[in-house]
Amino acid sequence: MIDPISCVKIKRKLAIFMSSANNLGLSDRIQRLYAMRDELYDSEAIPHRAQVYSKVFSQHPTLDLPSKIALAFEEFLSVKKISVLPGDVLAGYAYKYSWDLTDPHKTPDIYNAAEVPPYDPFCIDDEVERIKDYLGGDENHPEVKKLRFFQKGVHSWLFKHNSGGHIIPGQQRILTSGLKALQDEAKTELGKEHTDSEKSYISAMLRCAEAFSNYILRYSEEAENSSRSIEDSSEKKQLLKISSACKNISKNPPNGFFEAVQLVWLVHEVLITDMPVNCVISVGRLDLYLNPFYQADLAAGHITEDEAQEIIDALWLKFAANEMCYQNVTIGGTTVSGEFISNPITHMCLRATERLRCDQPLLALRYAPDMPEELWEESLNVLRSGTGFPSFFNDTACIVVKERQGLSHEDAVNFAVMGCVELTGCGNDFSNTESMRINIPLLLEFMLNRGIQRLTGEVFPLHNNRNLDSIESFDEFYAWFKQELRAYINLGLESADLIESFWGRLYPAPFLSFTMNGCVQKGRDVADGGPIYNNSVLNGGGFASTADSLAVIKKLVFDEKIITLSEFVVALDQDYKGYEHLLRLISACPKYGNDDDAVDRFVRDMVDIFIDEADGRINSRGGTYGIGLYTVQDHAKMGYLTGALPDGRLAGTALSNGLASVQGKDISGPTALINSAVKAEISCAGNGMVLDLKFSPQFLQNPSNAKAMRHLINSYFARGGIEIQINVVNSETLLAAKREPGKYKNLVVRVSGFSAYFCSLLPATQDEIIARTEHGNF
Amino acid sequence: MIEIQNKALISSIESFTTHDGPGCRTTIFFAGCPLKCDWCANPEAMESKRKILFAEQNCRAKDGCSRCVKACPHGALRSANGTLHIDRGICTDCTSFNCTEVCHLDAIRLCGKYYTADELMERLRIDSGSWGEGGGVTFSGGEPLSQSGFLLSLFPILKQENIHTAIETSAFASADVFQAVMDDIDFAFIDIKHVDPTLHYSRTGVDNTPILSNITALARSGYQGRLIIRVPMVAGYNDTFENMTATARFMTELDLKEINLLRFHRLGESKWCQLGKESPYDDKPFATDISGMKEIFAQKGIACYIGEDTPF
Repeated sequence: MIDPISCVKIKRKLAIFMSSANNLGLSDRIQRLYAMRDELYDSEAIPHRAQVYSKVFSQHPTLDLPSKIALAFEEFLSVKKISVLPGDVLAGYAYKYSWDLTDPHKTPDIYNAAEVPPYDPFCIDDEVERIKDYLGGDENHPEVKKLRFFQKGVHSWLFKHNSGGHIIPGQQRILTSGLKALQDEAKTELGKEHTDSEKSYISAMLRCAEAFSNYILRYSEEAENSSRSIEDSSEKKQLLKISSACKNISKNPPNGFFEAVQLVWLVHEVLITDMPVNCVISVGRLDLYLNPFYQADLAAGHITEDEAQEIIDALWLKFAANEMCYQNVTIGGTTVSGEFISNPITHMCLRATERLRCDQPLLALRYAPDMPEELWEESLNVLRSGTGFPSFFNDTACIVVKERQGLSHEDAVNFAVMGCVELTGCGNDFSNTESMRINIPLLLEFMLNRGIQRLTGEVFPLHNNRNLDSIESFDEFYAWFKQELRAYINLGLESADLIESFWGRLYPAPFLSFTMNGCVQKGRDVADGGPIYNNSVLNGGGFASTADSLAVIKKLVFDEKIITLSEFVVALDQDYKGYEHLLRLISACPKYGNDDDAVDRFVRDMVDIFIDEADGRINSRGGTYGIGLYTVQDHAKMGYLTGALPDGRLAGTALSNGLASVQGKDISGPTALINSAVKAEISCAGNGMVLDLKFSPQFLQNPSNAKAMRHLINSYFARGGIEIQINVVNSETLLAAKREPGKYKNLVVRVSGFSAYFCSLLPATQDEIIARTEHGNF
Repeated sequence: MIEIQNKALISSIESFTTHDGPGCRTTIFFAGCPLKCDWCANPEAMESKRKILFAEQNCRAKDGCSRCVKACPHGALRSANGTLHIDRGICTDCTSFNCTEVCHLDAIRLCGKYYTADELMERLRIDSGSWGEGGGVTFSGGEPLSQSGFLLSLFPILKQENIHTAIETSAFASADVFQAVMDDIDFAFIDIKHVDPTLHYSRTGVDNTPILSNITALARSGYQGRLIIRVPMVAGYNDTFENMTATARFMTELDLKEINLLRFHRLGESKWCQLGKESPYDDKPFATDISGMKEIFAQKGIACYIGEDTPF
């Protein structure tokens, strides 16, 4: 269901360890850790946590929720099983859980390993129940009724809604100040003027922070204990190094590079434990904040480059254990002083991704046209390895768009990539980046099907009920569509904002809040207006699917009058069975992604409506809205419940991804796709956007192609592009293309003086290309 | 005087090509070629006419689909035992191509489209955003010189818009056509498939005398563009020590300094099939090891690029 090319980021790729591991330059320790990585998980931690939270909650029935959580957090960190294994480079270890299991509020009541579904998208159900309770339990309360409708929309994938998480915590603050200084700040704050509930919340944050310090000390002791039974002197030395590091960082700023990385990991590990519902936690500008530690160590002769690389590799393996957690690391980019970051850590991050080939962490490069050549070279090496990383972000445009969303210049310059492609401030910004996404093509379905979702039978009232036969012109139809789009955007935003207004109180996260700039000072939760920036988002799914559908309706129904709207609906009802002739006519209609104004204008108009309805709109937490033009994997999930569309897409299949064309319809080359995309005001996409380009495997091998690629990125960014991902098509994709040629019409085999589409080649020739791709010798 | 041609028959256009000249380019494949190389990788561009390509793996005749059969006004198509049969003898004179209109599976596709200079420029303007410095348009084919009347009408516009031009050509044309076109070409790949006239004739169907004399004239004319000789390496035919040495000698006489040896591939075989033809080239080794040839050229001070190694 999920388009295998466009979902490289979310695909649960099994990291393929090359048989030539020795040649990759990984240290012996890293090779051992890599080989052991499946055994290092603690799958018991989450059930254990559930028991602890349950017990503590029942012991303190009268306390407010943040205080209960702080006590439970403290208890759990004091009993949680920890271990430092011989051969470990860093203390702390992974749980192998995904976000579906990470709600410490929810798990005490419902956790039963056998019953928890592998993926539960509907945190909405719990939210609506809690808000209803909060409002007195009245099902007829107008706000509850409003949320019930939204809830139905979420279940129908008309809306995607996900609260919480999606944040870059204050790693940098903790590294700079050290835990004790930040705890002292909180103590001072308690002495200042605050309401009771604010004071109670500050105490909860402080309790969590102290519990965290003690948790780090436990590692210090554990490492020391472990070291006693070890004979091997180098392992013993490593364990003692961990022990002394943990002892120091439990209070103080790290002393040196190793301690800094150790602290980054432990903060990250525990934040995932603390985070309600959705643990998407990204890491921020790792190369920016780790480099000073590295440089100081290097100058003092305390570290070598190889040792530092080993530490980064070990950190990568820790991240890799948390599958599907969208732990994005940002590298490159400018600083406030105008310098472009391309330091040894930047390169170590790239090398770690290239050599370990795990799907976590995600790696985002803040790209500038004049960035150093060697950074581009290193990035290419990583791209060639076929991971899809790094993704490229237009440094200048991203800074501008974050300033537009209210970030100060300094904070905007210090933005980083969060989750998939979202742009947020670091340690000061909770933008709830996945709180609302609308399935645009489904609105077309409602219009054509009397407000009924074809695949579920659910009824969604239209703003305007029209008799299809009475519509005389495309302009009339299109005006109606825009009206419905605006109406449903508003409905969705109002409901999501209503939930956001309760969220911080219903799902507090005191430890995460402690790390954020602003929460302690205000005595408020991260989701309750605590941080400096408290923005919200409107995301969209299925832009190209909708645009292509509108183009078909315009051409076949209104311009050429080949079919009436009502007749078209019958074809959609039949999922085009018996209407193959119609599919042929549809395939000759203009498609978004080929620089054709006739259809590109629809995407531009939809983005304009998004900007008009959402950009700068005030939310309930003292922030504003921004728009997002990406879909993560939602284009597949939304598509699953969307019936056949007028663009020829069959029921249940994926919608178009982000701002890309419908799968395989961009047959005029990457330039035309970019030309189509930049017609829309994409530079306003403050919550990020996705445009994927795919290249055949041999493409990046040639230096002149690499130069050409850089040029393509430069010209796209000069025209306002925010993000671009370069995918080197792998043999897996080519196999898929062989199976389903319709979806991969755009794959071109490029060889000098030769032109052919992959899907038009003889099966035997296709096999040959696949074989050569696997061996990398095109 | 070369007659100006208002329209060109083009078999395909590729965006963002990077092997057909410096930078990012748009490559235009002209239909029609005076040579009949049996190893041709773009056989659909050999003749100067539109035609249908039939990709059998996409065809659903076995599921009872017969829309193309019904659409054909000439009775050239029939479906028997779940397989579509095309009578190419009838098809060859077709101008309506109704069958390609009704197939939504891309099993039957029309290959070849007429472009006016304006239409082509519109397409080039779309692509121009990604060419960047050094990039531009490449004329390939088929043989672009076979539609020189159109090229000459295009050049003034290209010049006006300062678009870099490249060509991939056999140089098989009359001296005045060749010279007129090359005057406006900034970068040229010119093939010498074989130096020996008889052997050249045997596999390409034409004599190489005009080719070699065109190259000679161009080299001696003080050509301002960059000229790279190219050889598609065909195993057991032109990949011999003798031929390579002769090529190097020919280049030395003209003081030509760069050669590009292309590895043989049989990616074009699919297209032979889709045209309903057998590829006449049946030896079909996947690749010839040609890296050893480098030395022959190096001795003469000629830079030899193998495969895609051409430094742009």
